Amino acid sequence: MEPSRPRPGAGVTAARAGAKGIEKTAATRRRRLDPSRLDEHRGRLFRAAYALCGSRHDAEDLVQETFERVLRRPRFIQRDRDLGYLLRVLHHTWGEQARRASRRRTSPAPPEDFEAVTDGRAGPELALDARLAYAAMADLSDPLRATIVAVDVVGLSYKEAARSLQTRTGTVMSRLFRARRQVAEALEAR
Amino acid sequence: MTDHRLTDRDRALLVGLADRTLRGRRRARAEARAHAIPGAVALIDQQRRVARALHDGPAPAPPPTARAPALPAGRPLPVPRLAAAGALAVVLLLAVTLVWRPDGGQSVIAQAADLAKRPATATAPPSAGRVLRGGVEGVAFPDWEATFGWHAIGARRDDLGGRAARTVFYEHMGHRIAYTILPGPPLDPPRTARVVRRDGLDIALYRDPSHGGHDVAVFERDGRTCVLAGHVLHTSTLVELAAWTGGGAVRG
Repeated sequence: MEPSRPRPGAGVTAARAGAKGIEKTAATRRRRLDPSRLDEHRGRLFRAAYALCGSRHDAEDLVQETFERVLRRPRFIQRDRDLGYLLRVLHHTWGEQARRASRRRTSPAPPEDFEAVTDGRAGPELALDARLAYAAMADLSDPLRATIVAVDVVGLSYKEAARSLQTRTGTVMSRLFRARRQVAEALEAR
Repeated sequence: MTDHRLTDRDRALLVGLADRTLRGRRRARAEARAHAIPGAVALIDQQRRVARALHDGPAPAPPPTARAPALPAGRPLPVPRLAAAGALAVVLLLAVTLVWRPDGGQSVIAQAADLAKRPATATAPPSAGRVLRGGVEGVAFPDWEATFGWHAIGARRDDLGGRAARTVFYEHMGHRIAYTILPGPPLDPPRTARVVRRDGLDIALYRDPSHGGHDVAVFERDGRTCVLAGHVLHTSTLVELAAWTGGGAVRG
């Protein structure tokens, strides 16, 4: 059964009015990004970078440059928004790299780049779908690719993705539909 | 089955239906609209297939020897700002303590959720089909391995507020969660929790920021409080796991 998807972070929404004041107060406070915790996000950022670049080596470089850029000076963000913020920096960094190198297009990922994240329990069908999906993302336009990366690869909620991509939630949802649709067509054409 | 006639609103609705992120009247309206879209079911299936491949399929993993982030080169915070930040932290802490002061039940639930960060101290109970052997006051721990791939990796026992809690740790795709069953009368979940109902089971969901954003699900099985906590990609995973009854083997 396909799991329903209340999004990460949705759980902090107050169910009762009494807690809303506190949450609102806390949510609007900005705090300094903790450099020592950047590594917690490395796995997801690497997958995002891989989906954007299509190469393991370029993805490593992109994540590294993103971290270096973030660490250049203190960053103040709102709580629980580290990942969305880092994704935004990563996306901007990728855009600049791509403009410098004039290589916006990515190449399909070679199978050896794909490793089960931990225990290799994914079945062969799912594994093939995942590999083809990553490859098909190379053919998406930048806005569609950025959206599917934010939601399906990184795991941001629609709202978090909208904030990270600086667009509206409805736009994220419609772009996500079109991105998945194109990727699905690639899966079906195999 | 073409989508060029769909409006952006239709596309957003179909995504919401595919991801099951719509609730209540919005969902009903979306379903009604979807009935009017030719091939909507197939479009939704396509959406789910791609989402599943990217969520659950193997992904390129960063190399284990990846370079660590460089040391922070940022300027230190100015002293007045530090002082203000410290004062603000104290005020916030006081506010949280005063307003969120948990009652006994919530304190026990918080302690149970905290176990997700603790190590196992015993091996996991062996499988007995759809549940694991043993349990707490007749409530068994589920065996999710065959259905969801989460396999039991260890266990521990703790005294939480005078209750002999048992915890089983499960792991799947690099994520680890703790399932704790608390004996005795049921406890109220935190009042800040968002309650969802799945298959007749009320599941209170909240995120514990003190654990690096761990998700927590609190629900009852046969009158006993169960706490499922850990870091998962989507909170829906906890909902699915909590609601699973193993065909009735897990008493509800």
